[in-house]
Amino acid sequence: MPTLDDSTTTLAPVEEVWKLLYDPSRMSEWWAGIRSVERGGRGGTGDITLFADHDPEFPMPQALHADGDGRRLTISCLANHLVFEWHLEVLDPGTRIAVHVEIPEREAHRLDDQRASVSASLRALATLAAEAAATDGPRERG
Amino acid sequence: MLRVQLLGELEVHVDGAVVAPPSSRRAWSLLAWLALHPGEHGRGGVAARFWPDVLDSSARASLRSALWELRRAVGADGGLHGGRERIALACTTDLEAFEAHVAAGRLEAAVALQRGPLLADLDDDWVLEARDEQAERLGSVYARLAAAAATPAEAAAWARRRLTLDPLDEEAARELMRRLAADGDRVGAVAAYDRLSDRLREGLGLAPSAQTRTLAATLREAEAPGGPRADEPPLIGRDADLAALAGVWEWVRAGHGAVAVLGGEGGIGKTRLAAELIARAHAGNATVARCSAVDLGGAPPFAPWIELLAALARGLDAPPADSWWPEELGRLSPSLPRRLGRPRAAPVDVPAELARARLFEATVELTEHASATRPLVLVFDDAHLADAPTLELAAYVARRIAELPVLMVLTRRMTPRRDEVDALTNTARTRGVQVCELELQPLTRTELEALIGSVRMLDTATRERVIAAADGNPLLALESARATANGDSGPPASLRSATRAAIAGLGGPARRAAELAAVAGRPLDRLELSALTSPDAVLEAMDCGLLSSTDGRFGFRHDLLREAVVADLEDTRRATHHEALGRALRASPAEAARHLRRAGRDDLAVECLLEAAAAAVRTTALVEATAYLSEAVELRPEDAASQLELADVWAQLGRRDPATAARERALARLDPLDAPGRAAVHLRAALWFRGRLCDPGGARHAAQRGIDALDTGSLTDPETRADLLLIRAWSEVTIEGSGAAERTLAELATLDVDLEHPPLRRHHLRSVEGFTLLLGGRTGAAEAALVASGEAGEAAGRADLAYGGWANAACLAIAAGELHRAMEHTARGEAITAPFPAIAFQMAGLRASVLALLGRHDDARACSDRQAELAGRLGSPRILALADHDAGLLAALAGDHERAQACLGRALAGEPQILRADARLRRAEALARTGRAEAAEAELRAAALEPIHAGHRPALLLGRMAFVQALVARARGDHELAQARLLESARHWRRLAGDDPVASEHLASLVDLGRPPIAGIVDASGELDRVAEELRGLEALADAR
Repeated sequence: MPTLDDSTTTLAPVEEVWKLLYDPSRMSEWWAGIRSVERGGRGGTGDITLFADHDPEFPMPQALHADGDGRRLTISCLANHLVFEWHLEVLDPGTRIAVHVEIPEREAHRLDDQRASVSASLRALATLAAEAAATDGPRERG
Repeated sequence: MLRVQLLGELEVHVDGAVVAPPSSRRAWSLLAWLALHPGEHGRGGVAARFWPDVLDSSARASLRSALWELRRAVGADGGLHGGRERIALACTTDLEAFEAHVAAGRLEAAVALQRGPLLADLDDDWVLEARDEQAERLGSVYARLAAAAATPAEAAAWARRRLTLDPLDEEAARELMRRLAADGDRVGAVAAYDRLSDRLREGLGLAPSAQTRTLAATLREAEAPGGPRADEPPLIGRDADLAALAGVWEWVRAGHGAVAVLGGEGGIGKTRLAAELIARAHAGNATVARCSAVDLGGAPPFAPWIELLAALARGLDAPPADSWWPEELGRLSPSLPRRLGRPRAAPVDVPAELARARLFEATVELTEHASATRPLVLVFDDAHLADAPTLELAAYVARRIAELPVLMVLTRRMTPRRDEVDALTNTARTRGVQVCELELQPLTRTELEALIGSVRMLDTATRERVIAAADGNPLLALESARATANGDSGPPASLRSATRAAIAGLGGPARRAAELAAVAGRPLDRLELSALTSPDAVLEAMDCGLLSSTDGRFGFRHDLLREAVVADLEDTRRATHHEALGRALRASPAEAARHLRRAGRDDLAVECLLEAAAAAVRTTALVEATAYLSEAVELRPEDAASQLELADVWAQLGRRDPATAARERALARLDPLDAPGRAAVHLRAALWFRGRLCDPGGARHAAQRGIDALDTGSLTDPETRADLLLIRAWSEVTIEGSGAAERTLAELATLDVDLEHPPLRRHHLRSVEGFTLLLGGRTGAAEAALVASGEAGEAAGRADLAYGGWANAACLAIAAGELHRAMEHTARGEAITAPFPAIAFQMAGLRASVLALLGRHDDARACSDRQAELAGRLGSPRILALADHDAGLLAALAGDHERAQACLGRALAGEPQILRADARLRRAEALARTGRAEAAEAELRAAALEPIHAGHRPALLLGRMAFVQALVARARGDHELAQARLLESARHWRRLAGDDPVASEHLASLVDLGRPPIAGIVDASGELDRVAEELRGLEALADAR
């Protein structure tokens, strides 16, 4: 099964990244190619449903769960069976955001597309978190 | 009205008329047994007891026939009740009246009922045992009468009557000697000793114990009591140790608890030092009970405690009538409740983990009772050899004696290392119990000289050789001196050669008796001895100087001597002795099994191992039970029943994998066509998964396999099917939601089974109905069903199940805002769980939260303190941390933020089963509210790194995290940012305000945390109110500027 790993860093504190990562309503702000998010799965399965830019009518239910020690957020797409495992690490200062993606064989031909999409999403998430932190930063120590 | 007289020959009266015994002696004996053991009994168990050597079906047939005879004798209305599975006898007995008199302090009236030995005309094994116990109780009543007698002469008369019950009872003889001496009849006292001495020699081949001989010597020479014992050397070189122990003893006499650990190599003088302490304790009017661990790998669990408690129970006043604990001690030994005057009731039926806590609590209660009027000394000899449950219970008791005049003394060698002993002392210390640990050092040359000189006159050269060989060890010095003085050419090179020399002089039977005592690994009592050897052989064996007798028990003067004899035995001879012991000690199946295995008689050992496992389960020693069963399974792998027993015990321990593996092995050994057998196996597995393993997926799978087995065999068996369907419904409601469960419940209703009976089934049915209703959004009806499940749990006598009903009902009442109704539910739950610290702890937490929600914060705090106290009793770090967590949440609700952050900080330092991210955010809030912005921010950052599991609902944490960020910003004076964070938090809460989280959160909490949500289900609109209040506060601040 093809996999890919990517990571980035941001000056934003970990709680800012955490709030974005665990808030499905904001996923469309950083997840590349995602237009909107609905709470709850479609057809009785999944925890949220994503709708992509390229096919905004097609629901993609996702299951969210914690893996291993519970410190990794796993988002499994119940439509195409891609699995995204997100992990946060505290830096001084800032946060490292890492993602591990498992791609089923039948989606292997989209590996390069996925790599680009994941990279864009990571960086968007980092930027968004940094913006939230920067908005607060100057006043925090004031 | 049926009246049965048990005290004397068996007599039965119906409405005043004497009943003629039936022709069957077994039926008559059965009636006596039922009268002596009131309550309902399973037919299978009774049949196996009275007809043990035949097949179960034949035994049941014989039982039916005996019951028929009895019914004919006592009449149809004579009080004999029998159902398909259970029988009982409703009657009154003179034994019952005896107990009532004793409990009420009417001792003379009690003894007047004793017409003779209990069931004097019957001689079954169980009668002999019960007779001994009653004699012991009667002896204890005579002792109390003697103690309360108006004159010394009257006291002596009672003491004399006590001795007539068992003329070989040394303790009774000593009492008579003391009473006679107190009455001025010193000659009579010495004569009483001489008669005892004769009887012991003639009857058992034993000499009176050192304690009795010392008393006799004291009486003869009018010496002060408490001096050196007749056959013991003086204590030399231990002044500093003795001074330390004297300090400890004074502390105990002043009403405080202490633990003394006497460590050191074998023979260094630990037991001798303990004896000195015991002598002081006796002189100080203390109660002393002593036990020792058995030197035999795989010794029975709790064996030292059983010995200790039996000794203790003998001299105790009757426990208060409303005390619950005597029955619980029956788990350790069925005779213990009888000795304490409670032959009637059995321990309550609850899962093993609760039963163990209750057993431990019962032991603490007994300790409190025994130390109520005078100090208590509990001595554990050779703690390094003790089984793990014994040390666990010792640690539990040690934690609780800080305010009791109780001294726990443990002697131990430093190897094998036993971390449990160190853990015991460490925990006791933290609970305010004084701990004195002494490691006895080798004696100096001068001290050894003095010691040897006190027992033997040796010439200088020999004495030098003895001192050199002893290397500071007093036992080696004394034994060398003894051997040398007995004619050996020089001091033996080792203890082993000394004991070999001593044994060599014995004739065949005496040598065998000595060797048996060595191989036994512990002193043997007179019944055990009588099955192994003759009194003459024991008497001769005593002459070798290595052995002694204490209160009718025959063993080596020191364990090192015993070990030396064992080490010197040739293998075949040792195996022969093991086999003899294995056959003779069947009353202690674990010991018997160990001896038989060492004898190479695995064929005989299997049954003993199975019996040992059953006994271990009864005492809640499940780990030990798995060891016995694993051994039995290894020896007899084809036996499906043993495999299934093993699977059951693993499941009770919460060990899913080995339980499942053993179940599969059991299934593989069953005939594929044995549908009922296979269905029964699956039902048992489904019960574990619903119970201890709490695995809905496993339960559903096992229940379905059971149903399939019934279908495959075209079996109706509605009872089994009903139980399987109920379990399947439970798993469906937990995993899938209400739809599947409703369908299964509908299928259940079509069966020809009374689902309302027994109460246990009713409980499970109501629980499933409750959760199904809850998931369907009908919380009111769900609460009512859960109340009914609580009531049914109570009716079934299952506090653990009733707890679930009441706790869940209380949570739903809280969610409905019906706090007073929640209080009523928690009150019912508190009443039923009170004797079980593990569930009483949970109930206290829940009740505290209801009180806090009612604004009764002082009452909530008291309840929270009670929860902490219960956690302290349980002693587990996780439970202590959980109590801190709950206390932290309550303190936050009460606005006591300092306490909240402290409690939550302690909780987070441990590993309780809590939502850690949520706990961190709540602590961060408390820190921010006390102005500690940096610490609060660090805590909320840590929250982002905590594990988040499926049921944790991160959406709730988002709202809370933004809220805490607002409080941090406000603490830093950044009101603009605080306002932005509050608005962000409000957005999150508003999104959740329309949800009805009751069902999902409630079930998630039960599955993830194993308990209902303690501080109530998060209420988004309430959280919005909190945000609004903070915003108003900020506005007010802005206005003020």
